[in-house]
Amino acid sequence: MEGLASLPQFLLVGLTLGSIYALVAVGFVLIYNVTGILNFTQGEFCMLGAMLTATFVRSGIHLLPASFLAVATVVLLAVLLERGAISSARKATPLTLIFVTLGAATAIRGIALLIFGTEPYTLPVFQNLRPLQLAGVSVTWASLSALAVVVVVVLLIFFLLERTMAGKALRACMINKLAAQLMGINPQRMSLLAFVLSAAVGAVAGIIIAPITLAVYDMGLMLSLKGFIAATLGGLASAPGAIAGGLLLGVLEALGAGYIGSGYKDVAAFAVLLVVLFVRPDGLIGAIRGERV
Amino acid sequence: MQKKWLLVLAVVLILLYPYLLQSTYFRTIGIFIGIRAIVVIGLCLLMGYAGQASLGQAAFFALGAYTSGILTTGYGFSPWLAMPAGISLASLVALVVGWPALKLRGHFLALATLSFGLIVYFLLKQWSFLTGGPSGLTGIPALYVADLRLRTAEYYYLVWMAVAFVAWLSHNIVHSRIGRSLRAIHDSEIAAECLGVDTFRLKLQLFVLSAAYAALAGSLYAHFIRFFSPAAFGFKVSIEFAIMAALGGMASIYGGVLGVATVTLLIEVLRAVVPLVLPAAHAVAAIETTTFGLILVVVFIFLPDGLAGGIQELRNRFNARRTNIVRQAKEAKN
Amino acid sequence: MSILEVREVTQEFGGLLAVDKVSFQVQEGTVVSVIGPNGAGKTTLFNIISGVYAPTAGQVLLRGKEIQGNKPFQSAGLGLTRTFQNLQLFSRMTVLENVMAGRHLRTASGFFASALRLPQAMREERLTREKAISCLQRVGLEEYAERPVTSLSFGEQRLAEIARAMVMEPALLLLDEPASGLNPAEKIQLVGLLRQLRDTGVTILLVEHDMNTVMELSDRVIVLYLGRKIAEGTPAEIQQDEMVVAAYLGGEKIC
Repeated sequence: MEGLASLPQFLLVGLTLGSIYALVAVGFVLIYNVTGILNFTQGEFCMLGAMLTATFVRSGIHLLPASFLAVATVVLLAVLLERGAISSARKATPLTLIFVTLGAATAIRGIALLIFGTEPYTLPVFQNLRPLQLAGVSVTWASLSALAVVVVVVLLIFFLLERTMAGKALRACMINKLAAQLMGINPQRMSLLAFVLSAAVGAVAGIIIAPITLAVYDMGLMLSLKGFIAATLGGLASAPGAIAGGLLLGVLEALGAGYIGSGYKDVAAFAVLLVVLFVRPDGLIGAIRGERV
Repeated sequence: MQKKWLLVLAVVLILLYPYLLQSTYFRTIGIFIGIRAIVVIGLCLLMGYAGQASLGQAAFFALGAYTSGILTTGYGFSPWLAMPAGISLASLVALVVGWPALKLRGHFLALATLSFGLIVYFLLKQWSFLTGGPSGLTGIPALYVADLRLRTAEYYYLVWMAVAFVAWLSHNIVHSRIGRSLRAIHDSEIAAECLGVDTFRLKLQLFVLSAAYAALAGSLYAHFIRFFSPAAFGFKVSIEFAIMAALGGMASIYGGVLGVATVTLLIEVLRAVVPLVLPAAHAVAAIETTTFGLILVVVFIFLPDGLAGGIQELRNRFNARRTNIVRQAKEAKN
Repeated sequence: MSILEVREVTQEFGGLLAVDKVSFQVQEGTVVSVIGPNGAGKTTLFNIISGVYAPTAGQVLLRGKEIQGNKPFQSAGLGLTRTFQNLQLFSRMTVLENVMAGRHLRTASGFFASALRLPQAMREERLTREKAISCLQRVGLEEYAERPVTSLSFGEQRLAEIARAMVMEPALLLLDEPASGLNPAEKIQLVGLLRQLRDTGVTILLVEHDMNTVMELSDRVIVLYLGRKIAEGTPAEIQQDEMVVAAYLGGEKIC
């Protein structure tokens, strides 16, 4: 059994993992609040981001242009998905839309298997650098850069939502769709924007997770689900909530894996989701904020 | 009248099937179609009639299979006793899970059932002392009636008797007071409440019933296949059940069976054809997965009532055109 | 004897008082109308009485029994049902099935009896069908019984919804704007139908905009304005009430 000494190490692992969940959750919350859709392809965006970048790097492209190329490809796919499938089913019930995105996710996974095969891909970055030792905690450059990228992406999202016209329109749509529509905001364009933004964030999350955990064609489903859990923990209503939920989930998982056993990590994550759904459908964070009123 | 003849035709076809295609391979496919049909009929009631999603039906299928497997191999139970035990356990679990879950609406219910399904799947892998862990259970006994061992052909008839029984029960429920109230919940929950329908209780009862069906199918699966691992009960399986229900047309029991047959046969065709075109080892799985995904997208966008609904729609259009032609002819005369 | 008593019922939505300390009684066997301009809180009041909302404060008594905060199905069990302003028919069913669904409380067969077609369930089913057809006859829709309910005209759908409520044999029937969207002939038919219904002992509480219908049918009229009850009386009294005339019609006389 691990003692308290390992706690900082677990926390670091948890925060790294959690920051990736946070990115998935942000994308998920964006789409959910703008369109009312639970988008199961969110995790597939990550998978594609990771697999494509790894493939491009393998073929000799430098990491940075490879990442941009991968993000652009994923965004293009998201546009096709939104225009092709989601907008034709706009009037359908939420249940139908779940199945549509679930189907799209499954199809993407199948095509990924065909293209990439079953072998895990890795992104060879920072492999030669030795981990930093900070107050007894060993910090790999991969997780350090992951945390840095997450911070940058989160700041970027906030800048977009708070400071740009399109972002403000998007936020208005998230808060009250009808009112936004009455103010002349086109919900179809906002839906597209939400998909584009979520795809980009998702792809970035995939790229930063690849050096840490390896990338496999079927990683998307689990990432989607963890993103849902994180978003639900965060109350499903806002980007800050989703980020907090993601970090919380990551830390919980790392502690669970460290102190209870890694086999129960996923059981615990889904049990947490069930408990939150059953006890507080508004999410933990939402509940905390609710008390402020 | 037409419907009656279709039903008679289907029954005759099902009865003759093992002798029309006299090979263990085809009989086995027939058995799998039957086993899945039992699960899918329950899902059709739940999703198509009452409008409640379940993305965790494989968990109840697993509870039936594992109860049968564990009680017969580990504790010397007769399979015929283990079967009702599995059904009871699944029903009990459905009651406990459904109690909080069915208070949730729309996608939250879908998420909750999905999570439940995954938890069961992970626990099956984790509790090795009970479930054999990732490698699963082996040596599950075959079924005997008196001293007769049920081989493939006999098992086929046993499974389809179960399908017929389940379909009969479900058909009766749909066309009864309970069925009307369930459909009422789907169309307007608030109006159903104002007519005095305790919607929560009814949904819960239906959830339990669909779990019982799935567990029955699981037991039948266990004693036929006689060894299995958790992989047979993962998320993918839950989704397959949902695809089958959706493809057939959720609001139709017979559509559900049609959906099962279509998907099962499609898988077999893909398994036979894909290796001829794409030699890669994982090509079959890849094409299968992609096809499933596309079926889901296409069915839910363009065929919301599934194959059964599509056929009905075609027939309506044809009839409408015919009446139009007749009407035009009459008008021309006048 | 009063069948329904509403005592100081208040409903607050985020600081806005949609219904503000409204009290009134409904005597058994009468027709009472609630009128008022848009936003007066009529539909909110209905939602509270039928159990769709739990009121912020106050009581609703059905035959002396508190029912506020009940689920709608519980109140339905005590003999109270309603129709909806925007119609809540079961769109995937036939007209007859819609009305048959209204017999839920008057029948008892559960999953078990239904699934196994026990004789008791079959008997009930036959009786349910007969009752439903006779209700359809009373509203004049019997020839459309086997048609999908969505194929009916708007006015016919209103009648179908009323038939679905009638077949429940409720003690108290809440009708939310039953005349809206009806043509003049249909309105006359509606008034006749509701009179007939009252004569069979059903108490009727209705929210209505159509003044002719209200004045012709009602024994008493309650006027809501901005969530408050500003007047109550017989139709004749209400028509004379200056406050009502001022608040409700901005000075124009009713009728």
